[in-house]
Amino acid sequence: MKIIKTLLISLSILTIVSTPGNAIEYFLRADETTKTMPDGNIIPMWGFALDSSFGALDGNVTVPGPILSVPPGDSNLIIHFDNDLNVPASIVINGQIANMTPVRNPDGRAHSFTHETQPGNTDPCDYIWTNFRDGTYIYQSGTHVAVQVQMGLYGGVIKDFNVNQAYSGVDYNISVPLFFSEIDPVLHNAVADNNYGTGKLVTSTINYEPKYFLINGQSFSIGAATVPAGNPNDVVLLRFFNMGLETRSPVFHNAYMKLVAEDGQAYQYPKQQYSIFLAAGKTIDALVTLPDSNVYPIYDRRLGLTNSQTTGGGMLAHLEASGTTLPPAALTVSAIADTILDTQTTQLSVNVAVLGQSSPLRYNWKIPKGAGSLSSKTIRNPVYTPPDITGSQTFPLVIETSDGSKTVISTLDINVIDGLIFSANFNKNCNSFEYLDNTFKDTKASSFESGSRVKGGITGRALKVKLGGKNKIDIAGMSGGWQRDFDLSASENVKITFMYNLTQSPNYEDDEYSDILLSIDGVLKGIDTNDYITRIYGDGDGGNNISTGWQQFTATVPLSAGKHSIVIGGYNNKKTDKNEVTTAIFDDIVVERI
Amino acid sequence: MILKIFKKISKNFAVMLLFLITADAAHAAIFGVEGTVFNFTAKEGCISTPDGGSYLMWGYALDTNQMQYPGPTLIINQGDTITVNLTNTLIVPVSIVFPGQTGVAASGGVQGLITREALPLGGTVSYTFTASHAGTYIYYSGTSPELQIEMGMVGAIIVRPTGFMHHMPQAYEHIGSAYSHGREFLFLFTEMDPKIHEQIALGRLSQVDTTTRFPVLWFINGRCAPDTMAENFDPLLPHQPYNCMPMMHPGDKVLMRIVSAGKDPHPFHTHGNNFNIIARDGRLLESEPNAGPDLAVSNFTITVTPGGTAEAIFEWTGAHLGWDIYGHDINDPLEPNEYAPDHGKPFPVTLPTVKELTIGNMWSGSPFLGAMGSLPPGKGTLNPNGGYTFMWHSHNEKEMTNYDIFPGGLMTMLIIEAPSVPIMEH
Repeated sequence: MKIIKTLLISLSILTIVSTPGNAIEYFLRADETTKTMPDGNIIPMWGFALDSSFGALDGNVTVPGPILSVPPGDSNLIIHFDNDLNVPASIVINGQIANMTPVRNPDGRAHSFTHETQPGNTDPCDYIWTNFRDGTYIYQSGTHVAVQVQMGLYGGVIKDFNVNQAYSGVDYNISVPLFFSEIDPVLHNAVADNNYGTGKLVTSTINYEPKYFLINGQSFSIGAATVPAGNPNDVVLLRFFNMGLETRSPVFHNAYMKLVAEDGQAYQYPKQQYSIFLAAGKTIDALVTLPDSNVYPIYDRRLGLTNSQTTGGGMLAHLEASGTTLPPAALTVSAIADTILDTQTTQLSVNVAVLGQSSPLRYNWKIPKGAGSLSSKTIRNPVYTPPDITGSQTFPLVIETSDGSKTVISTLDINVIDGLIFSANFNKNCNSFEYLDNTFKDTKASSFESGSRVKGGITGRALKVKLGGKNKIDIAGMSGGWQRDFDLSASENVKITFMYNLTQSPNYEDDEYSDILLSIDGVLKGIDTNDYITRIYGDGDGGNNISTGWQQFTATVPLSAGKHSIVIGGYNNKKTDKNEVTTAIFDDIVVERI
Repeated sequence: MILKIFKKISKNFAVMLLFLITADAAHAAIFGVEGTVFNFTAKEGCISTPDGGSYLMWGYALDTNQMQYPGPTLIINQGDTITVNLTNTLIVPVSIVFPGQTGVAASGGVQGLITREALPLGGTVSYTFTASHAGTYIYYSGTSPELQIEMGMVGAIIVRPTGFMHHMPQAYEHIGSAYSHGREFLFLFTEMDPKIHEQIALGRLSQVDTTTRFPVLWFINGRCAPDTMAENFDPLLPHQPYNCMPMMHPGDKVLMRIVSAGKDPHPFHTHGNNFNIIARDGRLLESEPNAGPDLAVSNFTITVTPGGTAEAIFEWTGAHLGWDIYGHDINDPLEPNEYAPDHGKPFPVTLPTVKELTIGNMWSGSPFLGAMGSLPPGKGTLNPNGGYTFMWHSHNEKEMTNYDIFPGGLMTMLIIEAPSVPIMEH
């Protein structure tokens, strides 16, 4: 399983790590934090943060913790847990199935519902859910839950059936989480001061009496921000979570809610209600349409509406269907190069200015069939590899970016040009290459020059140039080569690659050499400052062939628009005997634009 | 020895000698006010509880009447535009919210956190809405609700469906919500922590802390049992005009209108039979619009979300008891709505004699409906018509107490009277 890490961007806690097509991974950390209530009371809490990688400590610790998303179509969720508390902790998700290995106290009672992560773990401890079910769920610590849950170790986790579809047939425009929770400061202070437990100031949670009542981690106070709920007449999906220890009753005026699911299970028939029985630990999904651009109060009718003793606080929020643009905002999608050859790749990237909300963004790239491939469809910046094409084609890519509330759909066109000018493997024919004598250095020895298509290529057939031999006459300067012409419609950098195998028979003297030569538009192109690609010198009579074996040559030259010609062949400066023969074999010639 | 059993009570038996129950109080219907414009005043008043308690309340009064707990039940018609004008005599701002009503517009007063409010000591505010759906609804204060609901600022709204016929009533337009004429009863639940009322009465508003609230009194329609079974507009309970005294004949369909008006949910439990829950929050439980309550649920305990409402239909015929509840011979004619298969079946056991019994106040001396038997002098006064009684109560048992005294609290008795016993219609 490959892990592809993404870069942090600005304010967003962006740490979505996805294995292509199958699983999503998060680096979740439990840590201490504080919450300041509207009356100024600072309460020690335990919360969750989303880090970019294990140990990065770059996430913001919040209570409730960040809402995690499992993209539609992903089946697995992996949480790499970093426990920075000073007690063991764990992660469970009510309603999702996992292999659980409870940890027990010596007396046999379960201390943790599943395997624990020790405090200060130096390696990530993994919690894995396979076949993750659609719906709205809660993750929480599964350890010493009477203490740890109410200290703040909970958050939401969501998997939609499809984009903007919570369950099959349940479409929505915008999703608004409403996470209810409570705080009993006496318990929090006791835990933080090590005053909690047998024989201590607070022996257990039996006298739990919450003083603070929160929605989405906020107690209401005058001037609190409204909760964005899309545009008037949007279908708003209210996702209710309750991790207080008491039932709460959200009541909504002026519009009925259509309850569609409970605990991640869709109802067969929705329920029309203005009040909801939201038991502790429960999730409920409800659709509502706000008829105009107004502010709509939603509050707990179990009357958790104070900030400690002070009226006008607690579980009160105002939904606003103001029609303003919602996160993700300022979304641009780009590619490092949006015009590429089909032999190249380009890195795509989504750039978002996230307006101070803590839900991690999730990405879903869509690529039409035949349009190539992406290194991952669920990360912010995958690499795009185009398909092999001829001519040029534009491929439209679609990216859906969501923060769990709103999904923005953007498109990006990538223009792909066939990188190949021509290639030749000679397996069926000479691929438009034509043999000519005396192609280099003004040689004039045609009788001692020949070319043919032969067996023995890298694969299949190859082109051969044979020079020298035949008789004992001394001949100075023989050459032959294979030529092919091509046209460019614009000036480009052209890369020429071919395989060659140059062999001298054993009897050349040491002043007799053989070259592999390449000319482009009549000009020799060689290695370094040489005009040849490779040169073999004879080493006197006898012995074995001297051969380069198969080698590859590559050169890149700028060429103007218009007609061009390359010749690949060989040259032998001198032969003095019948048994002095130069053989040059060429295969897999590729001429491409870069 | 066979007890002599009177098989029927004389139809002329008009005066009931029930403890606290008078003929007037045998009205079996919901009391409320009708109209389209209602003038409320937020006022103080005191209520009584059966343990001898007397507590300061805040409540809604109609016109120039006294404060009442709960506030006046509004009985309005589907489609009407309703105006509620609120004048405030209290020292705190007050308001009214109408959950379940759509298009509620508030005017006057000042903007509060949830709705517009009437300022203390003379402030006013008005609300209008269109009662677009039939059903049972609630109203309560939207100002510091955690305190003002505790103090008594709650009430019920009944919206009669379009085409409502008094003699063939329905709760909604669909026939599946039909009930028997005169057989609808309000069950509005609240609780109270007297400590808070004492603090308010002593002028210590700033010391009130609702996070430590601990209710010890529980109410149906503003009264604790046994006051739930006293008459409507009992002069001994001037600020608690409504009782909760369900009465029926076998075969009746009784409409229960349940309003969860307090802070806590209460599992309301009917002895005698299950009921069918047909609606919640003013909406029939239907699989699609106009299907009628095809998603109705049969249950014997219903917990309504605080702030929410429900309607349920209760029936009783004595079916399946296995004996003739009237003690008939097989040749006697059937009573109305009698369960025919049990007609003429004998009582299955020999009744113990008076020498072997201790006699409770509800025992009529006869096991048969509408019949009296021999009783020691002074007994049977609570059941002079020989009805069957079933306790309807919160199954959160501690809620059946009045400040630690049992019995009391969120409890009443259903009385099933023989078909010949008049139950006065409203």
